Amino acid sequence: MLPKAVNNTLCSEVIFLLVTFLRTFILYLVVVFGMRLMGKRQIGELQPSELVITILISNIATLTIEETDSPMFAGLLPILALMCFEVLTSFFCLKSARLRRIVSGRPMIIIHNGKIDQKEMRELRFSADDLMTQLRQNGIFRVEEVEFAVVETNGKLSVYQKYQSRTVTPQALSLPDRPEDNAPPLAVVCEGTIMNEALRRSGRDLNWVKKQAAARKLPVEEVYLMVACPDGSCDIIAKERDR
Amino acid sequence: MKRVLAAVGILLLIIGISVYTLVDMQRSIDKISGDTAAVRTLAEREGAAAVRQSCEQLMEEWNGMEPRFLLYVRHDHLDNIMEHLSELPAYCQEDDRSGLFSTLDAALRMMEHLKESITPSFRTLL
Repeated sequence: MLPKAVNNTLCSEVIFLLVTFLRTFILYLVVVFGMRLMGKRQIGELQPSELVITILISNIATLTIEETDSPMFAGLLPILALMCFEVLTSFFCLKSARLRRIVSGRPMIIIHNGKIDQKEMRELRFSADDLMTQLRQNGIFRVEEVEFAVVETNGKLSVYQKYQSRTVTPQALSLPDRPEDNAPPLAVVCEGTIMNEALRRSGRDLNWVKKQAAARKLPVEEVYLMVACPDGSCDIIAKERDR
Repeated sequence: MKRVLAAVGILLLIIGISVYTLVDMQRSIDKISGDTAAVRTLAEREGAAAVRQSCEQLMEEWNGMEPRFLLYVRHDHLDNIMEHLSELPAYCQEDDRSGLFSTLDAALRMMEHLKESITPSFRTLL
């Protein structure tokens, strides 16, 4: 039997941990809701304003979780307000090119016709190392191969190669067009669940899925992944049994 | 468009709740500050022992307001005020005028500080 003072201290510690856990859970739900409210833009490439919002929200959420003396509203309110500001800012930026330029800046050309614009590079504080890193990430190892290189507003480099350096395409080889190959392969079954939207887009139906699975002696529920290809074939991966 | 409307709705809700809590808290703090000042005036006139019941009523009044304040104000600020108010009955029992007055003044100052901290002004914004 523990002494009363130790028992009381242990109880208060457990309650403190429980309070922290509950606050974390509530804030997690609010932040996920907010991310859904802001939409896919936030999860993809970040513009400067979006980066600011992400950092602010994470800091506010952390403070609110840690400081149990601070009321939850003191954290929830600014988080929700920031998310709403971001949605409204992106809406108004959509309507106004000028506002978009003010908030996000403009793309800047740093390579033109194989020649680096060093003045623009200095303005962007973009070093030669940064340039070469981004070019290599685009699969390019020589500046001379580049016709245009544009630093986008999210900091990424977009590259348009010179004709001689581009990957060969069927069009360049004057091969006949094959419209049936334009459609991409689509995952129609994921972890035993039928993806109805993908199935509809692939032009197949449930009977086709069952027939394909049956050909491999599998019920649909045992299919880990089924990809419908445009040429009529399909790739199937069965679920692994638990070891 | 749905997201924009949801964002506008949430912002309006936030502004509405903020204005309501501001008005509600200011009104409540004004009331309890007024009652605290009245207890002090009464104690100056009739002595510490005579205001014991008033002090207990003051504490009850604060206990009634505190659950609402917990939603908006840092808990340690509220605990400080509660601590001072809870000392009052003891000073009254001992007829300790100086202790009673200094504790009432400290509680009043904290209530004023609380009101200032929730009111938008240059001081709070900057």
